[in-house]
Amino acid sequence: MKIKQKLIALFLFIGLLPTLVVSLVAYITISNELQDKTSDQLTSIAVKQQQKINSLLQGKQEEVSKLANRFDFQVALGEYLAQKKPADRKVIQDIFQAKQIEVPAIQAIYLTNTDGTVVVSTITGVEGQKIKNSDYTFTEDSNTAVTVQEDQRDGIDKLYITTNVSVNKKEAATMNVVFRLDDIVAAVQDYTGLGTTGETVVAEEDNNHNAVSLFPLRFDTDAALQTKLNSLQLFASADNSYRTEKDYRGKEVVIASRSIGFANWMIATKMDKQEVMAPITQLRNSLISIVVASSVAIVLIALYFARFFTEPILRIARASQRIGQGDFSEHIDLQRNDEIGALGESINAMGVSLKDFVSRIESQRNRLEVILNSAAESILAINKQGTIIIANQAATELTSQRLDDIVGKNIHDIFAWQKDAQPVIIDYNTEDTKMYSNLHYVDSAGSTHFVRLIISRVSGEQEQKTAQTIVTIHDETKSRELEDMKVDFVSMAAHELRTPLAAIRGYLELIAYKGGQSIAPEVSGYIKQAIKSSNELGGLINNLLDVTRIERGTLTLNMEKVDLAETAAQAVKDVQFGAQDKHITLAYSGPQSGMLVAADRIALREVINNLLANAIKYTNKDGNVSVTLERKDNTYALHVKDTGIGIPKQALPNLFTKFYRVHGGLDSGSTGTGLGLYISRSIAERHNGSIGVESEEGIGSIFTFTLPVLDEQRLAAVQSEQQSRETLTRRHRGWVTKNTTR
Amino acid sequence: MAGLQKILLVEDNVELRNLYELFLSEHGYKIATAVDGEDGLRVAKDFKPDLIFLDVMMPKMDGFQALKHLRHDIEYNCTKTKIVLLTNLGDAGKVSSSVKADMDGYVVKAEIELTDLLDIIKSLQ
Repeated sequence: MKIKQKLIALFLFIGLLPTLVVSLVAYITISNELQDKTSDQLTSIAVKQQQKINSLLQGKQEEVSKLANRFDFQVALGEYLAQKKPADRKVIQDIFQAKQIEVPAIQAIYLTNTDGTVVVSTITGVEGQKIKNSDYTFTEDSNTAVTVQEDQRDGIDKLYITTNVSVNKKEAATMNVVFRLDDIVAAVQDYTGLGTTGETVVAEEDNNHNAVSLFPLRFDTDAALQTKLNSLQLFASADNSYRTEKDYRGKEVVIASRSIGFANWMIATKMDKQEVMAPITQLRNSLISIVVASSVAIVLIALYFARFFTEPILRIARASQRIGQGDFSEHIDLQRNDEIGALGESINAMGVSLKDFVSRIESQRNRLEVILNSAAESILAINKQGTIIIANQAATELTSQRLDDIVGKNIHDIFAWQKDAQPVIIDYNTEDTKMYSNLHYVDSAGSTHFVRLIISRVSGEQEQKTAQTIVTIHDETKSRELEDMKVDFVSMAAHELRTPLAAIRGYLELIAYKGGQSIAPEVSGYIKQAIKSSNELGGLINNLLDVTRIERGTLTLNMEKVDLAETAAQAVKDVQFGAQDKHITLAYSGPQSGMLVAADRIALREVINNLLANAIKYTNKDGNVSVTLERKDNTYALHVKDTGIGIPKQALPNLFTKFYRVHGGLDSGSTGTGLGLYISRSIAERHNGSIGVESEEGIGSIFTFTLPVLDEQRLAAVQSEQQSRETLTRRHRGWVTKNTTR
Repeated sequence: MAGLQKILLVEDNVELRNLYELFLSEHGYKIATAVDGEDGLRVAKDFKPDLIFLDVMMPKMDGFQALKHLRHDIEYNCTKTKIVLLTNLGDAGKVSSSVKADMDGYVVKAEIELTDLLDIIKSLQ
């Protein structure tokens, strides 16, 4: 719309402005020229008049002078009147004939006194009557006046040529020659040759350029005459000029004046301005018509072009909108070969590629959906508010709800997580990836699921509708059951192995016992080896059982007051022979007693034995194993340092993991289940202690086992709890009896 | 009581049963054997042992059931007899309180040496 308006404005500006300017210039130019021409015309009229009058006066100077000589005229009239002869029209006739004007009929000649009362008249019955309002007051300079007044008797406008006679002052003051005004006008009309429009006067002016007398060649009324006099006064000084004035009717007139070169006389011509200006007005009107017509044309052209440009753009815009809304079938056919047509084609092409693009995205999306739905994990996409936007098939199975019942709900309303029977509120609005393990969730069908949550942030942008967080839920219920079954199986197998193992060892002992001295020394050695191996096998089985107990959380400890220093010193002593066999120097530095801890005596020995066994096992011949025990604040630390082969850096993090064996040099030629350190660490942690390691390959390792210093009160509390649970006393490692009060 | 002389071995593993029988006979004890719980009850009724070594995991009737019958059914005349369970279990955590009440102790088979048996018998006298 805006473009359309701007285009219209542009076209109007381009089309209309020059037209208007040209028209204006043309108008001004032409009207100026016309005015000049009119002025010339008026001037030429005046000149013509002048010439005419000049020629009239040529050679008749004397007669005119005579005429002008009031005295002569006065005498002639005076004589005439004194003789009381009938009117001799010839005298008057002469006056007019001198002007070559057809003599109008003289209505009458009066002699009036000063108040306008007729004293003597050429017509009868008017003596003693007042015929004029007032008489003309003559000045020293002028004794003649021409006036137009209404005859009070018949109401007809009359022209009076009045002369001061003063023949008999008592009786008469002036002489009036009376004409009907219409007669005069009719007579003058032919003379001026100006037709009905021109009104021309010949006026006499005084030294101050005031028209003091004039000879009307044509005029309308007495009032008109007065106006003319005024007009003459206005421009009489401006010789050879013309100007526009308003006449007595309020009508605009053009008056041109010119000196006629005779005495003080000039000629002035008045013309109707409308008439004079008619050609200009006509020109102006036609110019206006042209301007209006061309403006209309230009507006129409502007509208057409604006439409021509904006219509296809609007169509393209509408089409683009539809394409934007996904209607790719939209095809724009502008049927144009210009740039706009090309734009339309480009948009068609864009629509086609968009359709292709969208269909590719859709197929991609479908594929992703298939992948998403085939995932074993429940995958949910949620927005910032926790509203579920996407959920997969697994999520519906986990919740036992339909997809529609999940999507759009808040994740807090769908899942109520628990951990150790306590409600857990998960913060889904995490910046990075977070994992929550060992959660459980009761679905709508009442089944408990053990799950692990992984919450990952998708994008930094936080729009209202877009998914910001992906929640992946691993249902570990089944794998946990499997794990339990596995533990059960291992436990079962270990138990089953124990009976035949007990038999094997028993028979070996029986052979040794019964054979006594009769057995050959080398056979006795074989038997000892077999017993040792069966003991090792028993140890392995015990380890497996310990692991299953740790896994099940059924490893029970019999906590009591134990001297760590004594235990450690004894343990070192017990393996001294083994070390010597390998030519390893084994040394203990630390107190022999007096470092009390709360511990399960058997478990504590197991840990120390394991650390010592490992140190000896992985230290080569002529190496050193040193055991030190020290107190640091409220902790006892037992360091077992060897000069063994060391542990590779990459193996350190997994060293305490179940079944972990270090690959490479460490396991070559050595045996083990990879359970010892795992069990040791579990036991240490159950004692609120720890096991750590520092090692460098080829140099050796230091294992540090820490235990808190004995807290009597705490031990008492633990023991009283043990008492209530345990009614059996372990007498020997494999022999347990009831607590007996007997 | 002048020592525990008559010992009943209830053990399904034939080798172990034979081993214990052999070893304990060598040391002058009078031994009777049974291969499972039911067999054990039967033998106990006639043999009237002073001490019963009762395996826990056995076919037909396990040691816990046999223990219950021996202790509480008068027909077996074993209400006062010393009964020691032979187990592979290392911990007492899973042993029910009634079993604990009924038995005199238990032996983890894989963890004792043959000679330990003699000490155990002596400790029960």
